[in-house]
Amino acid sequence: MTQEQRLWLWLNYATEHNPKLFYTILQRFDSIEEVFDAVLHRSFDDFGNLDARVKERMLTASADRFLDRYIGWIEKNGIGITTPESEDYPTLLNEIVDPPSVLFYRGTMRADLPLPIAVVGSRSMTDYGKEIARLFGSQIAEHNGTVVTGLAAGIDSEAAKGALSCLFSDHPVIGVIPCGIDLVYPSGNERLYEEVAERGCLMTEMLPKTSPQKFVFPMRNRILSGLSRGVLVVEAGERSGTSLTVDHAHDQGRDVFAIPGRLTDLMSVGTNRLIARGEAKPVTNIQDILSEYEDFLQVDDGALNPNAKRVQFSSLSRIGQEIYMALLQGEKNADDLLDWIDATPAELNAALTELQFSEVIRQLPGRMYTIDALRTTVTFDEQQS
Amino acid sequence: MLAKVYSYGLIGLNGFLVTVEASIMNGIGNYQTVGLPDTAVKESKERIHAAIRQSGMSYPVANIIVNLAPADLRKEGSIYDLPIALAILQASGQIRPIPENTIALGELALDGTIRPVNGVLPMMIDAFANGYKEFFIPWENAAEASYIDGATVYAVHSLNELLRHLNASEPLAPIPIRSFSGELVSSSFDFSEIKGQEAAKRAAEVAVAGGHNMLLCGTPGSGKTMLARAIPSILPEMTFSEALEVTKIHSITGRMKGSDGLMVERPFRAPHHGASASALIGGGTKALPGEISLAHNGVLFLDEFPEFQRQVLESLRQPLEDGEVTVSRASANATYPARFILIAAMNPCPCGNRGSKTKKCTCTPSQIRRYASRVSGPLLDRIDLHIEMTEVGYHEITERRPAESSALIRERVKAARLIQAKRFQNDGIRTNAQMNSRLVQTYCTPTGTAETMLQAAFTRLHLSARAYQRVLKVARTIADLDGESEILPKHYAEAIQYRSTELLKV
Repeated sequence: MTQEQRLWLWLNYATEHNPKLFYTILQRFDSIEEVFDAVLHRSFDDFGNLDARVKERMLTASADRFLDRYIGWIEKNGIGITTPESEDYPTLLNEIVDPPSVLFYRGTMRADLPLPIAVVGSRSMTDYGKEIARLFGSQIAEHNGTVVTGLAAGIDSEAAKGALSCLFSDHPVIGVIPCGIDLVYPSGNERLYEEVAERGCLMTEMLPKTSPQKFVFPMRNRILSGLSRGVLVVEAGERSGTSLTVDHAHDQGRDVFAIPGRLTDLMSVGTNRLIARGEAKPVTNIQDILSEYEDFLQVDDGALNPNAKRVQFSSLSRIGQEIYMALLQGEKNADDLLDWIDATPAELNAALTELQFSEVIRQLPGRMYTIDALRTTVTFDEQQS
Repeated sequence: MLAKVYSYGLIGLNGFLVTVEASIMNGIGNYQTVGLPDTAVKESKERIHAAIRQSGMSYPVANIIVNLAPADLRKEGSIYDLPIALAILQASGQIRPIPENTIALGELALDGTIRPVNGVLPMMIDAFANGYKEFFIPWENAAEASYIDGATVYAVHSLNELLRHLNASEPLAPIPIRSFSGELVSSSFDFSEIKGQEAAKRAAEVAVAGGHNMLLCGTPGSGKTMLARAIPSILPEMTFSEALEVTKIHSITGRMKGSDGLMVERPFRAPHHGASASALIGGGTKALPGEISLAHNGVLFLDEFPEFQRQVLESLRQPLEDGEVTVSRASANATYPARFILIAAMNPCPCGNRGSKTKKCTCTPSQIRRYASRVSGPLLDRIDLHIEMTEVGYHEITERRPAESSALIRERVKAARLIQAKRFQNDGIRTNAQMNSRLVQTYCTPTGTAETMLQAAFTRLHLSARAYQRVLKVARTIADLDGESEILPKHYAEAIQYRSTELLKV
């Protein structure tokens, strides 16, 4: 660690990672060394109107013993740090007005990523949101991009899991977490955190050992959009924290994309509104995102998932065909299906298993079934259609 | 003078012979009971004294010693009142010796009336097997005792009546032996009353036919409890030996008093989720059977499954696997059979609305995880069928195709059970669910397409080896219901469907 980084870490600690305060203080001096010297000599005249608490923290932290212990702890725990002055500090993040003065991270920090896309959405997601978040997470990674996510429950985590499912990508995902780098939020996400740190990067501006509080989420969200070239909103309800990320993205000049949903779906109200107001570009497949970035333009075959299997309708069993036709008109539960088709419960159950295993349909909670359009495309013979 | 009368005692379900000896010696009226008697046995002295006087006999004024042999087993309860009284009367020369092959059981009231006691049936079965053919038992226990073919049973109202029988002045007639009819009392719910839920009803049919355990998961009001309560109506009648097993267990806990002999209906036990481990498994100072043994050959219904204490639920694991439970206490130790169909019901999440079309779930992911994790993986493994209930909408309640009646379903269940009984006649078990891994290999070997499908299921559903075996067993039952000797791919496919629930995945 350079002497310069050591001092950045000191001031970052003293200002409690408040970027505004940090840069105001820094601007009053020629260099960070001068700030440190001034504090050592207890000449606070040049600091202007300084809070007593900050002054106190500056003094405590300026002791060599304190800094040595702080840095020793960071290094012992395998935590990396980077500052806007460092070479590996993300270039895009450095462009925003208030970049974090210090980023704590685990994993590999890279200054330039080919195509960082933030995937955001609400915590309480629908099954549709879950499927879409996973699909786009994996597809962004497959196209050599990096998924930027907050690793919260719901859409965030699903997008990260999708990205991690792309095995050949060497940097599929960045997790920007709302708590100290040594903590996990929400609890239960430990394994995902480990995987992200192992294959990508887990980062935060929060000081170590701080647990998340409500007000840190909007601050965290500015990093999400700041790191990315575009922000993809998968699902957002009427009043969602996602709208703050979108505001940040607009302020920072990032592209905003949104997944359209059904007008009646509560979890799509936010995304549909973004599209209606022209604040976001509607996305129907990965090419709609890639086409915004020339270097990534690929042949557009218009399919949501080009890797989907193809299954002939005529290859399904009689009951299988009837189930497929019934589900074309919307999700149905097992009892509804019995009303629609001519089969006993035993026959229906057997047919459902076969369709599920060939990935033509998918089971949802509540014994509901839906067509698995993401994985399988059912094609009709010409005579039949 | 010395006298000997035979009586019986119980350790768990097994009986042991108790020899009641009375010795009368000259003295000033000391009375002593030896042979590990408990307080109830020691107190019998006063009851016997009064009862003998009330029956018109004289109570000897002498030193009396009563010995209960074997001296190293603990004797409990009031059942030895009658044999002790008879031994004293015999020792004092007031009655003739009672024949050697006779067993006497009963509690005495102060006026000489004989009161009913617990555990008469298991004691009699054991004694009869050991060559004791004549029994003096309380009148109110007559019903349960009337099924032992070949035994001469005298059901007695009072000590006085017995004495008149013994001196042949007014001999009693032995109670008539009844034959087992197995006729069933109708259950309160019928399957035709359940609207919708065809898929879940089919699963219940499979569960009952093969004796499989079942977990019902669904939103509140979807009919989990109603379905479970209707299950007794499709249970097949018990065979005589099954009925005897059940009656024995219920007899120990005193549930047979005054009832009409054998338990004919399969037991349906539904303990509240506040139940303790010993209430469920068995316990108490006497190591009495718990709910799982009382549900033997029947159904144990645990509503609000995750609300049971975790440790209580986990204690179910071993009995679910072995079909019996050993209850060990400091003073007693007993093994009881516990082969029951476990029906468990749970909501999908604490608020109950997860997966609902109409209502919004307000639970956080960690709340749901915590709720689901109260039921451990090993326990879920032991439940063969995981059934998600569908949400019942308005049109399901109002217009539906006519549902099948319980009687119709029961006929199919009986036919399937018959096939199983034939198959397992040399294996010592009754249903598919009881197969061990060796029998599973013999009777359910998937081939060809079925094998590939099961391989896919194994990886897709993350089945454990145990869960995989249970899928095979369920497939065997489905084939039996179909009357097929071979398990076809469609049977496996249906069995897999009963294992894949989205609600249990978090």
